[in-house]
Amino acid sequence: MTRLEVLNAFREVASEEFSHIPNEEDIEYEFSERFNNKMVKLLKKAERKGNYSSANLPKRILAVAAAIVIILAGLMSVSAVRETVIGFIYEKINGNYEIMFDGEALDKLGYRYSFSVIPEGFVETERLTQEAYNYVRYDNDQNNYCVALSQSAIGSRMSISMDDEHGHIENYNVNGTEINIYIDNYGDLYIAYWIWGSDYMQLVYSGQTTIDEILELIKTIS
Amino acid sequence: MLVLYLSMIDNDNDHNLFEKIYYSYRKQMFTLALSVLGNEDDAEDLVHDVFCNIAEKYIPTLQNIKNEQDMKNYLLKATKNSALNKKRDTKHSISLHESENLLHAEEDINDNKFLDMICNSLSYQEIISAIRNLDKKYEEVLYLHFVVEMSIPEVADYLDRNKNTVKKQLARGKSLLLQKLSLIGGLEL
Repeated sequence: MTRLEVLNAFREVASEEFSHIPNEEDIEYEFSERFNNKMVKLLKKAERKGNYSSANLPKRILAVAAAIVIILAGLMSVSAVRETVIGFIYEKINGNYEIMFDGEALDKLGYRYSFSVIPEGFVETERLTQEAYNYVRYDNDQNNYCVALSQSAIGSRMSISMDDEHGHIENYNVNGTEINIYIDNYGDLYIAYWIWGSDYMQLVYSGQTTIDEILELIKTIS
Repeated sequence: MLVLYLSMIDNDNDHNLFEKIYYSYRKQMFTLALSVLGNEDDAEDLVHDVFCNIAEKYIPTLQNIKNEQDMKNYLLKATKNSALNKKRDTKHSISLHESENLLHAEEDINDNKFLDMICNSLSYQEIISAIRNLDKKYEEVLYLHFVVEMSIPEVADYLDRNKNTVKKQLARGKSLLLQKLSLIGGLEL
């Protein structure tokens, strides 16, 4: 006899315990409205958990976001003359926000921005410093939230696309700078991006927060 | 132009699984809960509680269950255990769990050796018969550990038992099953 057969024997006996339960489709029971309402909430919560809130996901999100900027920085052609960055152009293509920005590439960052105040409860967990790219990440172990700030010298005619099925983009103005914020449908993933000089700035916040707090956080960057 | 995609939404596997099990087993879970609790409102509350627990803690375990029958068994066992716990007097429940710790220390047989011993010498029907004759508490621990491939801490958490209790029940279950199959010596219990 094989091990598989032995395991099947255990399975067969375990299943006997519930053999008297009819098949799902044969049970005629209408759950109460109270139950259905509770379950709808739970299913939505599970959807959010499935999409964004598993312990590993924020790391994946940030890793992807970081990887993109690294690629952009790595593929830039170099120009000796800095020209004005055109800015963002939005298009909705195939369910994605296509976000393009133009500008002459630089081979390195000038001034490097950072938070003047670290959000309470967060500690620095990762830092990457390259000539044309800067990245720092902070994690909050209490609630598994994380925040990452990246800065990259802008390459020529590049674009990023974002899924618009699970989120949308809003525009704000902070001290004269247009701040674009991608917000997921469940309010626990925010990606703010804007241009300062010839640098592309991106702040990713994974966790429950508000737009006002995101904007306040941006104001602490100097 | 360089086009790059920011894949913030990785996948919906967890949510899809949760939704699938909800729509596939909710009525069976309710029926089982109702048979223990005898009240529709309590049974609905219990089914909701079980799903809350799953959403909170057990999705990774469920992702590892590939056999449809094991999935059903897992959910119905969770429902039955929760219903029994709800019905049972808490003090009595604790004393029952504690009583398991009074078991004599059982020499634990290595998992591989245990399966090999059974594989090498018996027919399917003999094994079925021996498993059926095991006390339920040992049978379900053996099933969860060997078939659903849950670790001792996972089984303990799932059955709401002490880890040491589950460890002893697993060792004793293996030993009792081998005794029933006359593969090792010992008293028929």
